[in-house]
Amino acid sequence: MAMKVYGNGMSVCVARVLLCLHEKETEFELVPVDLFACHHKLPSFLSMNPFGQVPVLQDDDLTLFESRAITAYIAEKHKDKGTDLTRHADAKEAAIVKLWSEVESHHFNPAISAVIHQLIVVPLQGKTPDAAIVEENLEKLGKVLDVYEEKLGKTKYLAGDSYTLADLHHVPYTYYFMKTCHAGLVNDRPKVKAWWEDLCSRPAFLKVSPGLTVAPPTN
Amino acid sequence: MVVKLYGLVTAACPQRVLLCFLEKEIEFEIVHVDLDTLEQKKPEHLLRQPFGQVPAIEDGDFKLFESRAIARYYATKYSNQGTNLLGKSLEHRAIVDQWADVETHYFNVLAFPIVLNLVIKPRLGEECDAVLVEELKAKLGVVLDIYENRLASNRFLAGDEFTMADLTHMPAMGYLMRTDVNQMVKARVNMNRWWEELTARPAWKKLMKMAGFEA
Repeated sequence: MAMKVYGNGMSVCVARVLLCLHEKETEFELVPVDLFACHHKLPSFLSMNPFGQVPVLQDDDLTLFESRAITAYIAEKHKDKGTDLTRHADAKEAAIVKLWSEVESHHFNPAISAVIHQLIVVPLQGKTPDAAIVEENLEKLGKVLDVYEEKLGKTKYLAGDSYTLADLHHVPYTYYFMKTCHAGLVNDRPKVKAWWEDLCSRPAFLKVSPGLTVAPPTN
Repeated sequence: MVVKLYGLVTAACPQRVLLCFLEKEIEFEIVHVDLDTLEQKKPEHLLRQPFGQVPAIEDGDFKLFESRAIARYYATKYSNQGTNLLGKSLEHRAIVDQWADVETHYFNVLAFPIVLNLVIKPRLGEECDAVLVEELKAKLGVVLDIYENRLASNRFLAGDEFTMADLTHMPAMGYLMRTDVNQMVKARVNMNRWWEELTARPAWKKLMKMAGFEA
């Protein structure tokens, strides 16, 4: 039976999982969850993820939430096919992949998600973005990207010379960020820009990005 | 050769790694990084940890930072000794990862600014943002209710055994329990039971003794 992913292609965290499934050439079924009708807050959904968020993965008896735990599971289960996303054969290399995945979780994600929330989600709720929050987080994001610029001067990808989960986890939020007026934060850093363009050239990205349909307001 | 941990025994993120070393019975050496003089922001440390934070490790030629990545590496490297922190099957490991990620994305995002305001700022003579703390505590209550429900039917977060999912919570929990947030934990029967079990572990007691916080 194919794995089921509960969620929608436009959700950043769902897209993270879909990218992984495509990289691992794994069949799956996407089960849409109507977030506008708050189906993710219904008891039937909360029994799968008590935090009431997408994505959720179902693989036979296993129900899993947290997108990065899901990607790690898929990458481990299907380690013998598709892209090697975790460098599982070498403990030290695997640790470096995990290190840069943690950097994404703790340094990159809080800053970029705060910017995207203000610039894309808040207007959808009919409210005005908080410019102070945007500015504060753009500054934090800039400092993180400075570290990336230096790292990507030494290795082609964040954890070394091959694409791994450490790079993949960044893709969905960065895709939305590049639609905002602050794309210069990436484009002004040549190594980060080249890295991003490479990530966008991957077949898995080309399959998932059409689903990332949310956009900042044009005004 | 013994692994060197750059950091200090009283700081939460180094404690995460130290707990892992203690649970796995791994020898280590702590190389003190003086946070009071911002040694972590100086060029020598930035070479080890480009974000200017602790901990970082050096194990011969091998260098690593991010406490959760370090703990994961050593739990894997020494899977045959000490406590099994990672889970016994692919599916169990995924559940461990899931609750470890919950610590990052739901618990730590609230616990860290609470500890910053209630513990660290007073120590530095800075003013605590009391309004922010109350907002954070309200959000934390919602998260702790989910933990309470989970721990009602599971002895530990990922099932019947202590794993990385529990360990990764312990440093911040230790600090929170020294503030009035401890009432939020004590008011929840299963969370209270879980915390008492965690703090009864010999590795935790050793860590607290090393940090000068006798239990």
